[in-house]
Amino acid sequence: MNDAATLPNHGEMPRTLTPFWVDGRITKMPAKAGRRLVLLEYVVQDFEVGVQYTEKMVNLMLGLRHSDTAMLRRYLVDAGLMGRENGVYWRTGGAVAI
Amino acid sequence: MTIDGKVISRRAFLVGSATAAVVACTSTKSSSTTSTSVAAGTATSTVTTTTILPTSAPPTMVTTLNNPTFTSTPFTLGVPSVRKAIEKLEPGTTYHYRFTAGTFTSTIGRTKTAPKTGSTAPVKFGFVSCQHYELGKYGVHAAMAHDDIDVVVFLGDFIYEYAPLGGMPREHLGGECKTLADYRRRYALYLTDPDIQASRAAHPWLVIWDDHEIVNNYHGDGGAPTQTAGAEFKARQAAAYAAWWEHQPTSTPQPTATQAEIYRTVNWGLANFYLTDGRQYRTPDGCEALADGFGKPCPAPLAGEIASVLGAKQEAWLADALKTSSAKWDVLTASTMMGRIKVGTAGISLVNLDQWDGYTNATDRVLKSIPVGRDVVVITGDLHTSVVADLITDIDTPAAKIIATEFVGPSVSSWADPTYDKLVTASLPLNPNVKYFEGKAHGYVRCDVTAEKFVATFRFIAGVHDAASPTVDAKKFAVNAGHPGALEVPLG
Repeated sequence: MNDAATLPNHGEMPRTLTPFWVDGRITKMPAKAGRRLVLLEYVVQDFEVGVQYTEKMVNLMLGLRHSDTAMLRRYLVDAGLMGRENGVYWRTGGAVAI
Repeated sequence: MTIDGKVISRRAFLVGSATAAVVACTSTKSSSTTSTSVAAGTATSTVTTTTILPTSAPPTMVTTLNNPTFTSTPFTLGVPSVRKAIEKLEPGTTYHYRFTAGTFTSTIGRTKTAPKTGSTAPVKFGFVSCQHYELGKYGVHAAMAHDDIDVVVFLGDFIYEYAPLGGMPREHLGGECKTLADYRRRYALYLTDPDIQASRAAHPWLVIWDDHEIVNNYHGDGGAPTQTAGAEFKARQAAAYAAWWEHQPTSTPQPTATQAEIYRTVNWGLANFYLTDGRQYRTPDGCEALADGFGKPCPAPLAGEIASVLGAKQEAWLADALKTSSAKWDVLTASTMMGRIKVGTAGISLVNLDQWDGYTNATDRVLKSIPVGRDVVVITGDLHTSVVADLITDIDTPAAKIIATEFVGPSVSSWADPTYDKLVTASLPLNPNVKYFEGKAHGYVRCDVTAEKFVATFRFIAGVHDAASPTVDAKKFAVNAGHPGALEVPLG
């Protein structure tokens, strides 16, 4: 049963992101801020609202999407999608399923 | 009389089983709510226990069991339970019992003695763990109470020591448990729940503890870095163990300030249950002491110390018990998962160091102590998820041989962490030994054991906040005798 990774699925990725996204993983970060934001808003949905994460757990989760977890972390914080203080992270943006 | 007490040798156990068998207990928070329960014993004996508030305690209690009447231990002011070991019972027989004292009458309990040693009758049991009171109702217990099982195996985290979380549908009374009075109050609260009462009154139970009976993620020398250690921890540990014993249907010896051994063997016909203590003798985490428990696998023991979940003495006891067992199935009962689950990706992966993953050498030692040809199933809990895993030694070696099969049961009510669910689900390619993972559901595992196969059915409830929630059979796996490793089989 374990041949393929089952990554969290938050819906269809827009076609404009096709060059940057294969099977739930980021192949390269878009240079355009707008496209990058779409990717980041997707990825941040991997995190639960109201939960505090250690940097290690953030890296584990982000590692599912891209090997450069430090870059992804920085982008998420800069985009206002994650908060950070004293090594603790929490989700501050992105769509929430209701 | 100790009936499911630690077995030093197979012979000693068999001698004991001829004369002992059921511990029943009943608990009250007020005189209007009682919980009777029975410890699974042996073929011919049982121990009954009742718990009642000291302020309403009559001087003595009497247990009635299918007409014979027995006088239990007398109440002691300030001690919330009495118990009675009952002997000379018939094997494989259902008994009803209750406690009476003055005008007080407990609910009626039912129990069943173990079958005769050597019996080939099918064995039916359910196992479960982890029931944080604030995080859900106990529909799982309601379901087990109505199931036609012989015995319930409870794998720990019966109570949670935490202060109230705040804003929950029902709340812990008092702050974080630290003293005997705190722990007693917490057990009394949990035992007011009618579905726990029903489950404990319907079946005999086999119980072990995990960490939350004292404090989160503790080991033999204390808790995680932010928690207590040294003399303060030892006092807290003694208080917690004392309260556990008072409120659990167990015939293990009453703990003292310095001694609380609960590991033991119980034979139930085709199956030997090895009930282990995975906390008291545990060495500190193998590598990193981390707040969230995750770290890199650490096969190397600490300098000058053998990293162990069970401790050297209990490991030796288990190895000897497995070596001398004549049961068809050996059921190793532990509180935390023995098999490995890596989370992450091939580039960065970590394991949960609070599980046996933090003690890889210990896992290898236990698996290698299993004699060739034994049919061993490991049942565990703690993760609040459902897992089926093949257990192999030298786990990083390709094509390693499967030694045993593990079933990890879901929680009664404790939080199923969605982050862990996502991580493990995404990490399954790293874990070819894992045959099944489900990270959201609450429920229990029903096991049907015959000489030919061990069948485990994952039985989930629809909603954790509904005590009357219906159950659904989600997955079923079988282990065929002589062929370790789980095979999924059709439901029904």
